[in-house]
Amino acid sequence: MDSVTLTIDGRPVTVAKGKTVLQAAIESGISVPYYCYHPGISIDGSCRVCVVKIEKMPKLQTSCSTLCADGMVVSTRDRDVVEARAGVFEFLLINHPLDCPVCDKGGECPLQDFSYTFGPAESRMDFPRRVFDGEGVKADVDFGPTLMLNRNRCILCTRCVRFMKEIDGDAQIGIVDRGYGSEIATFQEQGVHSLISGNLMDVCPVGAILTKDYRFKSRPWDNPGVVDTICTLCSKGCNTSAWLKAKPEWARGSRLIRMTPRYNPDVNGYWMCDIGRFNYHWIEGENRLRRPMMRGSAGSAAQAAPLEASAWHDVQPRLRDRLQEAGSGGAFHFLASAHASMEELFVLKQLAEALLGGDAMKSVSIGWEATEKPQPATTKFKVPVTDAPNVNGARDLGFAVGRGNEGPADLSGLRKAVEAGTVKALYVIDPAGPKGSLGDISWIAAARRSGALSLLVVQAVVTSELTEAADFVLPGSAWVEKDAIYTNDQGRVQAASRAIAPPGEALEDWQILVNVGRSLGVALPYESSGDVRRALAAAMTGYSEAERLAFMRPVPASTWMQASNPSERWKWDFLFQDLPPTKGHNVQMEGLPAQATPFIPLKPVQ
Amino acid sequence: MIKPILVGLATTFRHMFKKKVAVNYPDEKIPMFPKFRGKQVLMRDENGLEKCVACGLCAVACPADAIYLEAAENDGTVMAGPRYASLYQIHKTRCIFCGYCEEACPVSAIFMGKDYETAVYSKDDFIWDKSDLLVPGAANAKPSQQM
Repeated sequence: MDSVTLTIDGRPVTVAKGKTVLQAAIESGISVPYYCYHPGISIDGSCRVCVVKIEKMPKLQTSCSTLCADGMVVSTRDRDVVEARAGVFEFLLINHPLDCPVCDKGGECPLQDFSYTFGPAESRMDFPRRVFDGEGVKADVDFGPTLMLNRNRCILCTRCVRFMKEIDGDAQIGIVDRGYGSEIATFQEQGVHSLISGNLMDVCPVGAILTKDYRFKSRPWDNPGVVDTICTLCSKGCNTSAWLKAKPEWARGSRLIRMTPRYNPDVNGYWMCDIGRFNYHWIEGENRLRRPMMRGSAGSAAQAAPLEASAWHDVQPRLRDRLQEAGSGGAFHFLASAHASMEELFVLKQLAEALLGGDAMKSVSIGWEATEKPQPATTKFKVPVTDAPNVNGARDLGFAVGRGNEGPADLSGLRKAVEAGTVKALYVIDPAGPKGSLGDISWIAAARRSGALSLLVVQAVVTSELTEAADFVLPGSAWVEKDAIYTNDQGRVQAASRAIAPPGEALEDWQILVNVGRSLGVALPYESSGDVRRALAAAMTGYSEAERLAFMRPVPASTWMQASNPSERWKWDFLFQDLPPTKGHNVQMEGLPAQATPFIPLKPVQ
Repeated sequence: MIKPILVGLATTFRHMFKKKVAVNYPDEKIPMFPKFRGKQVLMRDENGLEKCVACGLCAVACPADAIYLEAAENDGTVMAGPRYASLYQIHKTRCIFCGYCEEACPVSAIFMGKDYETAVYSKDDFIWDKSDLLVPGAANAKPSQQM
């Protein structure tokens, strides 16, 4: 690749040809403010705060729209630049309200950060601010099903306009009126209706576009823990960060507060969809299974007995007896969701092989759902059809997955067998949310109620029709509650890190399977999910790196001050390189000695 | 020998006719001096609405991590602005009465009060919540007036 070398602030910088001066500055750790530039969308040059002085050019240039050339001499600290920049900031702040205390962006706002760094100390504006819909949070107006819009805060960088036009493919947002009266608007105030609308909050450099989900929920400094994980709600496997609210510690334990995308150029870019962003409330919701449950007595009369919460050590022997009873009949079957991780499916495979011998793979069905998501044809962020993260992983393990990611799972064979009475006992594993991940499963519940199934074991995370009908309910964990790996639709193996602990007595799913296997006398020598990954890496071709994948732990509060707007976290990877690692770099690999916690060294007092 | 006794008794008798300093606490109380920092008070504005906008700056400023609050959107049933604190707790065993919360508040909603009687019978009462901190609203005020 061709490269060009230029000088920025006296420092030689070599970048690939075609990059702009701003990109070169960011890559070399030179701090230049910007609002309208975003690496994921096209260049606009409308905010004017990235001005720099370039030798032999008569006027100051916007660095975001000036291409690098060999021998260019750029200054970002020249007196002219500093004054012009402060002037632009003064203009930006003429109408921007000072309602940072009630603004959800306050504390992670690029306008705050850059104004403090580069802006003037005070405003000389004597006239009242321009007001669109009211003062403070009263100005928040509805902006579609997921968003709120506050026009007073908008600085007209048009990132949202370009995002909708280029990434979403449906240019729903535009700027109406001109000059002083310009404002962000949608056609007839309909708001934004898009499957990726949540990204607009990340893209917005101020608090003008906010999600209803995060509205008033937290202040950024109350979210000290951030875990880099992945989303497992579809086969794409977007890289995400799970934010935990946990301050002060005496008031409440840590809980999930939001999901934001994490940059991965090969998978999701800078974006994620609204399903992954907003569909996490069930994880800490009322319907979670917190304790194992079973019916009062054994035998056929058990169906009449109510499902009672119990303890693992009481459930375990009863479950073993019932499974042995069912296994001797030879009509035992597993139904696993493709939401199960590689570890779980690997243990399940070994368990099935030990229990059922040669018929093992025929006795395990993999289920998932597929829904077509309505998106514009020109969208650059396509949300896949398959609603499960690990269909390819199940295929790699040798399970029958039919057409794979091209359509829903075919469970009709299993249904026929259950209804014909050839399958008498069913063990269902479904670690997905309230709607489940197996499609319509009412036939399983009906088969248990009618007696066609004599035993139904459900390992799940939330109460459902299936858990109501089950003989045994084993509480598992959601994807943010376990360290696990998943193989996405590109065949990429990715790690999802544990952000919070499973609730109550719920266990990680691989652990439940290992416990069940051990009670039945199957040798499963695993003490941690890392053990399973090591065995998996040794046993499977193409997974040799699986045991080396890095898992994150929540990053402690001592580093929160360095993290800003989550969508721009990539920026912090380049800027502030002289400071200790920011969020997302405290990578702890299993099996390695624990790293020292990053700390900010004290500066000597002059 | 006799002289010191007479001096001492004279002092005693002299004090019998002076103004009393001790008060009959708790029936009588001494007013606190102006800069005294006691239990916090959450204020209301001139319309009787809660002033607090739940920005959380008091909780950040608090060196003892004694303040916990949760912001919420007003659905019109609360005597407050559109954004208010649905939960506001101060852990009194953590609070060091430094007054930083008062200093941090951008809307002058929290003040250090004059109440120094903080003893309680149960450790559950160590946490002051809004019912302990908020000044009472006017008896005839209605939440619907504010929206």
